[in-house]
Amino acid sequence: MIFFNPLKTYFYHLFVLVRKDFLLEIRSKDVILPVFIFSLLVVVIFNFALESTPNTVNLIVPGILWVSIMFGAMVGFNRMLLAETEGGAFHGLLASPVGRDVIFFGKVLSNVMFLIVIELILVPILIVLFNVTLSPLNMLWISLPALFGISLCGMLFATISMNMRAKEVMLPILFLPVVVPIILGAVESTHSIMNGGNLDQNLRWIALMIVFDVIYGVLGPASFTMIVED
Amino acid sequence: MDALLEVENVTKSYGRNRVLHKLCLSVEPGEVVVIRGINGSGKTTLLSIIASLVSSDYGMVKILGQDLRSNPHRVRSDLAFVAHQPFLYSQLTVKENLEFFGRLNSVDNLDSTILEKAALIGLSNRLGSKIATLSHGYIKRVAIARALLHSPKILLFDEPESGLDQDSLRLFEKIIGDQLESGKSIVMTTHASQISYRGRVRNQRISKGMLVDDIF
Repeated sequence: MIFFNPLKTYFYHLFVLVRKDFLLEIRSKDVILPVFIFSLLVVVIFNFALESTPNTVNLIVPGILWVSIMFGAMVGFNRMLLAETEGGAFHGLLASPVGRDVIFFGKVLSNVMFLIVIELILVPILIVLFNVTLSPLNMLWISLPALFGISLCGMLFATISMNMRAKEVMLPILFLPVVVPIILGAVESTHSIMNGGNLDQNLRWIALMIVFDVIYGVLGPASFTMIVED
Repeated sequence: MDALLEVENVTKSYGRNRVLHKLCLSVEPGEVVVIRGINGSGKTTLLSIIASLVSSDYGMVKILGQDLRSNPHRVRSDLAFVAHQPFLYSQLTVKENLEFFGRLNSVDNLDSTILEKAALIGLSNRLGSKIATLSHGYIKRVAIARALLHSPKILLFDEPESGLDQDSLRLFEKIIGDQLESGKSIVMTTHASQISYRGRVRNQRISKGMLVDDIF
C-alpha cells in the first residue's frame, strides 16, 4: 500500500480520478469542445434575439452568461458519463477500493475545471460582443460557488437519469428546477458587479450559493452511493 | 481451513423475479468454484453481488471474515472481477488503463508490476495501443491483467472463455493454475462443459436461485 493515512489516500484517489478525466478529455475532446460550441451558440443566438442597448446590456449579459454555461453544462454531464459507461469502465471504478463519494467528487471536480475553461473563453467573447466590463477577480468569487453548485447538482441528476430510457429528457427536467437558486445567485451578483457593486454587496447571494453547495455536497455523494449500488 | 469467501443466504429479486434465493457459498484458499446455469439463472448477479456492484436484498458476503457492507474498501481491495464488459477506458492506452486502476488499488512499484503482468499475459508489445484499436481477445487479456494487478486474494470471472482463441484459452488456464497454486481462490461462471485447471475444482449449478452440486 502506498498510503496509510486515510485523508492522504482520499485526496490521492481524487487526484487520480481527475487526472484520468483530463487524459480522456485530451484524447477524445468529448466534453469541452461540444460544451463550448453549444454555449457559444446560445450566446450568439441571444445576441441576435435580444436587442441590447447601452441601458439594457448590463441587465441581459449576466443572464446570457449563466444560461449559456448551464445549458452547456447539461451537455457535458451526459458526455462525461458516456465515457464512463462505454466498456463498463464505471463498474471497474465501483469494483475498486475507492469510496463512492470519492468517485462522485472526482467527477464534480473534473466538471468544475472543464466549466472554468468554458467560462474563461466565454467571458471575453461576451465582453467583445456586448461591450461590457467584468472584473476577473470578482467573477472568480461568484463563479467558484456557482460552478460547484451546477456540477454537484448536475452530476447527481445525470447519474440518476443515466440508466433511464429517456435520459436526455430526464436530466433537464430534474436538473433545471433544482438549480434555480444557483442561477439566481450567479446572475444577481454578476449583474451587481457589472453595475459597479463590490463583493461585500453580494455576500448574501454568494452565501446562498455556498449553502446550496453544502447541501448538495452532503446529499450528492450519499444519493450517488445509493443509486450506483441499486 | 478458513474460507476466503463466504456467501450467506443471499437473496436478490428484480421486480417480481426472484433470481437468487438464500444462496450460500463458501470458497477456500486454492479452490476454484465453477458455476453453471441456464441464461438468466443469476450467475452474473451472484458475481456482481460479491464484487459489490449490486446490493443484495438479504444475506451477507464475507471476505476473510470481513463483512462486505461494513468494510467495503478493505473487502474490495482483496477482490477482482473480470466481467463480460472489460471495465476499461477505450480512449486510453493499455498502459494508461493499467496505471489508472493500479493507482486506485494502491499497487506498489506500479511500473514494474505492469511490465510483469503484461509479459505474463502476452501484452508487452501492446502497452502503447489504445483499447479501442484492440481485438476482443486482446481486450479480454487487458481485463485479466487489470484484475491481476493488485494481486487479489479472490478472482471472479464471468464466462472468461468467451471470445478467447485456443492459445489465449491455454494461457488463461495456465494463469488460473498459477493463481490457485499461490493460494488464491477463484469463482467463475461458464457455459463450457469441459475445463481443465490445475487445482481443486468444485462444480456447482444455480438452480431455482440456489447452488447445487453439478454432476456430469
